[in-house]
Amino acid sequence: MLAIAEGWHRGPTHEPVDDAAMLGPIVEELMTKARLNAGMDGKDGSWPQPQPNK
Amino acid sequence: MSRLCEGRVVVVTGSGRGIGREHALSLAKHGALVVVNDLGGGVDGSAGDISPAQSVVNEIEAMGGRAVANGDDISTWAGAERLIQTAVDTFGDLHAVVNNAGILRDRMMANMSEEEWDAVIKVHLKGTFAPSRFAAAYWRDQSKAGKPVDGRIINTSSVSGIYGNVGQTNYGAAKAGIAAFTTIASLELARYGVTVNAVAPVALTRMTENLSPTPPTDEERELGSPRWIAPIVTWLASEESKAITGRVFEASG
Repeated sequence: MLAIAEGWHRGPTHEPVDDAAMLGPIVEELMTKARLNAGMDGKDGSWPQPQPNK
Repeated sequence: MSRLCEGRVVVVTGSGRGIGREHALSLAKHGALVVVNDLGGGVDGSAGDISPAQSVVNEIEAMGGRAVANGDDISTWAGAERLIQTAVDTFGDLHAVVNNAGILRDRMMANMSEEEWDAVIKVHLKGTFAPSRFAAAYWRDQSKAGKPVDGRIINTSSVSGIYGNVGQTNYGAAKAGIAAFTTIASLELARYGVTVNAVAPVALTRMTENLSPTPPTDEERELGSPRWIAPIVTWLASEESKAITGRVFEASG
């Protein structure tokens, strides 16, 4: 199983994958379903959301 | 096969055996130049030798890859600094650090000794912080010098830390700490072009296979194979993952 954790809970899941080259679209799909990390106010998606390399 | 990490220099701690070995081999298959770090110690952290790391280097070289063995103790300040410097000195750059090294000293809390607590916290938590700290300083200096940085830190948390497991207050607290470290480091390092993520693996390795009272079945061995963990680590180390940071990925068969 591949999943993104949402704090102390399991978030969206996908069947296990044994080929790293397949993971790009799978992680992208999981990210669209996962709750955003909370900011210091505890609210989903509040500032700051890191934007690496942007 | 598409090679996701062609030419990227990747340090993998605790990669002489188990999950870390699988990470190192997968990264090398995808073109990474790998620093194979392993103290060669016992599951309980007792001292050992560098031969497991050298063995993985030999495997990588036999398949045409490039790697170097390193036996530094990543839970020490000087050892972590030498490890990161080994990557730069050997391969001329650093692109990713996979903090994987770990030990177990399971005990119910009422019976746990100070030494059992301290050893697990030191190897996991300081052993994640210290290499990350020296890698972060390297990338910060590169960024401030105007050089492009596309760095990665990939930590190893655990379901024991994010969900909790009896008999592992030391290990679980360290692993939950690593998840928090991941979130905060991702916020700090985004400005330098560095992402920080974690994996929370479930696998049967030398470290975990004796935790169950009965030997694992063939099906449990397959589901617990480290081969299910290495792909997400390899992908996170690649340039493809640059938009993902501050997340914990649970991975198992």
